[in-house]
Order: sequence, then structure tokens, then C-alpha cells
Amino acid sequence: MDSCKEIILQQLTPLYRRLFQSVDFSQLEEIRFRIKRPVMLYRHDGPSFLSENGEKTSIESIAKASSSAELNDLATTFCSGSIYAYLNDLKDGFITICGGHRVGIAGKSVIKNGEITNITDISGINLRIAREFPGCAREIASQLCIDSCLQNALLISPPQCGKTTFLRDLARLFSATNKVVIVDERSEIAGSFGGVPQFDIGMQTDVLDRFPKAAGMLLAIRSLSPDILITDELGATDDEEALQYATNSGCRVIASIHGNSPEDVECAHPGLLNFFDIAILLGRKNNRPAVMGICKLR
Amino acid sequence: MLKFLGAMLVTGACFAFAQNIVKAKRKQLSAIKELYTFLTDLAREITFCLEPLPQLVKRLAQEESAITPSFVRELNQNTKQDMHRPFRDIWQETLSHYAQEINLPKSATSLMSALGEHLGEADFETETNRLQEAVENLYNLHSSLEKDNVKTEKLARSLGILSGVFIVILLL
Repeated sequence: MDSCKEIILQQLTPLYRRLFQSVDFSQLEEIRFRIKRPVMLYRHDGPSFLSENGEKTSIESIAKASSSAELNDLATTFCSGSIYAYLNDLKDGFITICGGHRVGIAGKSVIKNGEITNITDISGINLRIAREFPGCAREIASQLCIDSCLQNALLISPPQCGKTTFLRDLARLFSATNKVVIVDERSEIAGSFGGVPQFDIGMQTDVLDRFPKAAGMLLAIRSLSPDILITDELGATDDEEALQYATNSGCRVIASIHGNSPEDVECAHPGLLNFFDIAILLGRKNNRPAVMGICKLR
Repeated sequence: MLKFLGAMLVTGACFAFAQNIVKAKRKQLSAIKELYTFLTDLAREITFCLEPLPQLVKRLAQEESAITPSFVRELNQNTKQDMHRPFRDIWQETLSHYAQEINLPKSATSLMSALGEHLGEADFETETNRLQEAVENLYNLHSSLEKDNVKTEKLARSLGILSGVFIVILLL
């Protein structure tokens, strides 16, 4: 059994642990549990269902449907039976489990003083399987160094095109010769669990786990003196100020943002591209994440 | 002389029997004390480090190995065997075994069982409130049992000797 499957199975409830025993995890990207609807398995070639016997099937009528109690049990199990310890993560709608995998939770929000404080009546769970592909960013890494000087780079892509995977590999590659800090606002890049990065992020990489991006970038520069700062999904209003501070301090920034092209990004976040030298466009080729283009911004 | 020795033996046996009852009561009392001390530690740790329960129990079981109540040690052992089994199930299983072993008073067992049923399901304020409430209830139970025990101990010892004497008289 591959280790990814083993780690995930250990964290499921006994019922689902049994059902998933014979499922092939090698190509699996997501597992979706939805209340009173079939459990769905998402691979790069499309979705399928989990049958009552624990096999992959395309026939909906024999698919296993999740009950409310099963979803609650599953969510509690993912939280190690300690909701209070994961409440800060649950407010954002997801938790990171052992192995760096991400569990997104859908349900009813509990709002206190205008802020989400919890999610109840869980109606859906999305287990997003995180994988690392060591070496996948080697081609990008070589293009980021011009005259042995690293460029500030922005990875642009729609969701599910490998932004985080490429960022993780870039951190691993550059940390061989540079001090790298990852500001991991959503525990996705390093997939930290209990303070331990679940992926290989390189020898000289520090992780600021669950730090707000802007605050994390400022803190990293003040206290960790990074050569390279890596962060995911820019876009908040205070990000630009932090980027300004980072680039002024001589630190190189590699970040990602949702979008289809530099024009898209410029339209949605005017001025943001000014902080970067290179834009890397990611997309999907043959249903797999791929580099679609690299363009110089200055 | 033989009769005298026999009488002493019978009286001594009855007294020892009474003493055993007293010991069992004391063991119950110290178990309740250990339980509320553990719950106090648990409430304190939840407030300060927001660690999930399995890790917290593991740490508490290791930290004070010399004075750790057997309930915590057993709970940790059972959690280790299957980290991802629902914690409430492990709690209830450990409690029922522990209660049987110590002969824990029913009120203390049901209190611990009710606590375990929902432990870990709420935010940390609710959790600590529940734990503190349980600590208070266990403490009150301990105090009242302690008072009763003083009376019971005297009574048990006196009855032990008296019944011994009674049996001797009957036999003579």
C-alpha cells in the first residue's frame, strides 16, 4: 500500500477506512463526501463513485451515500476528536491533516459579532489529496535566474493547475543555496501538521504557518532574513504594502495568484505586477498541470 | 488456650475484613482525587496550548509518570493503539474498565461518562467550563464521601470486632 493511502486511511472513520481499502489512490486528486449523495472520487480523467462494496464505480445507483452522522464522525475524526484545537482552521473552512492533505468542510456557519466562529450541520467534506512532485519546477527555476540573479516571479493560474506544487518545489530547489521563508497562510505549501512540514521543502526553508500573508512577510523580513520569500495566492489589499517592503529590503519574492493572464491580474489588482520581473502562466495540458508560458514583465 | 487462640483468630479475621472494606473506600477516594486532578490539568492545558486530546493525554501521561493516575495511563495506552478511533469511544472504554477495577462509585462513573460523551466537541471555552464543572462535582463528591468514610471506617472496625466476638460467643 502506498504511504499516501496508508496515511489517509489511518485518519478516516472505521467505516470509510474499510470502504477505501481497495480503492487505488495513485491518481486520486479529491474525495468528496456529500450528505445523502454518493461519495465521489476525482481523478485527472474525471469523477467516479465509491460503491457500497468499496470499489470504484461509474454507476450512481450502487454508489455509497454519506449520512449526516457519518459526515459528523468523519469531521470529528479528522480533528482528532478535538474540535476546539482546530476551530481557528474550521473558521476558514478547512483543516490540514497528517500528510499535508487538506480537508474542506461545507455546512452552516455560526456567526458571533459578525465573524464566523464555527461550522455546524456539516453537509460536505472535500478531502484534497496533496502530492509533491520533486523536480517539477526545475525548468521554471532555471528561467528565474538571469545572470545568476534571481527574479521576482509571479505564478498565474486558475485553481487546480499546480500553483502550490510548483511553489513547493521552487522552495525545495532554491533552498539548496538560499535561505527561504514560506509564508504559508493556509498550510498548503509546506502542509505543516503539528509544526512539522509534511513535504520536502528543502534544508534552508523556514515556514510561517497560518500567518496572514502581509503580517507574515513583514515578520519574515524582520526576524528571519530570507533571501527568498515564497507565498501563495496574493490578492488582499494589504499584500501590496508587504510586497513593497519585501522588494525594497532586497529580498526576492516568488508568489502565486489566481488568474488566466497578466492582463487579468492587472485588471483585478492594478499595480501588483510592478513588483515582479517574470510571470509564469500555469494551466492544464492533457488534464495535468503544466507551464503554459513565461513572460517578462520588465 | 486453644479456644482463646481460635477466638482471637476469628475476631482478627472479622477485623481484617472490616479493614479491607475501609481500604477499598480509601482507594475509591484517592481515585476520585486523581481524576479531578487530571481534569484540572486537562482544563489548564487546553486553555494554554489548544492541543488535540490524544496528544494532550499522551503528554500528561508522560509528564508526571510517578503520580499519573492509572486512568490517564490506560487512556493514553488505548489512544496509542488506535490514534484515529473516536476519542469518546476510547474514553468510555477506558472508564468502564477503570471503574470496574477501582470499584468507582456510580455517581463518579456517570459523571466521567457524561463528560467523555461530549469531550472535544466544542470550542475551548465550553470545554474548559465543562471540565471545571466536572472537577467541582468530583471535588464535592470526594468531600462528602470523605466525611461519610470517617463514620463508616469507625463503624466498620467496631462491627468487625463485634461480629468477631459474636461468632466466638456462638462457637463457645
